[in-house]
Amino acid sequence: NNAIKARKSGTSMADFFKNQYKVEDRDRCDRSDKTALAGLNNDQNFRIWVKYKEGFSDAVRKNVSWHDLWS
Amino acid sequence: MPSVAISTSQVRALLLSENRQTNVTTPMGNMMLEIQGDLEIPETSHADDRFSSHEGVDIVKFGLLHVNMETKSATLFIGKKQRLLGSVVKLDTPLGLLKFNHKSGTVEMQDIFSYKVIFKNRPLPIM
Repeated sequence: NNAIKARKSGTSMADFFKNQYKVEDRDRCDRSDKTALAGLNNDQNFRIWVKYKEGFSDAVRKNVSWHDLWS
Repeated sequence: MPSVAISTSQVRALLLSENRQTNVTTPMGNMMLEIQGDLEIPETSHADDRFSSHEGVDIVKFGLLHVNMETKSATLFIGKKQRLLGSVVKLDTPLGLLKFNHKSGTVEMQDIFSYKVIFKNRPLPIM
C-alpha cells in the first residue's frame, strides 16, 4: 500500500518536473521521423545520469602535509 | 614549518547575526549534495537549453532538486530518466568550507555547513 502511495505521489511530482524540462512526447510524434531520429541521436550524445554505487566505502585516514592542502 | 592564518571575516558576520541556518541552503547561499554514485555529465557543451555559460565557465543543468524541510525528505531528478529519493541530514560535525587561494597564499573560511542532502538509494525511473 505504501509503495503504491509513494508511486502515485511520485508520478504527479514527476509530471510536474517533466513539464519544467519541456519534455513533451506529443511534440515528438508531430515531428517527422527524420527529426525525431536526430533528436534521439543527440540525446545519446549527452546523456546525463547517475551511475549508482552498490555500497559506501571510506578509505583509511592518512596524514596531511602542507603540500596536500595547496595542491 | 610554513604557516598561514585562516581568515574568518566572511563567516564571522554570519555567526554574530541571529541568522541561524534552518534550511539546507546556508545564508551564504551554498549547500551540500551527496549522491551514492557517480554523476555522469557530458564534457563538451552542446546546443541544448540545458547548457549555458556563467562568468566564462560552461555550466550544465543536470537536474532538479525538490526539498521538503518538514518531512526532511528530498527528490532529485537527474537528466531525463532518473529520480532519486533522499533525505536532509543534520551533520554530526559541521563542515567548514575553506578556500586556499594559491595566488595570494591566503586561506579564507567561506561557509559552514550543518546540513546536507544525501541520496543513497538506487535511482528510480521518473514514471
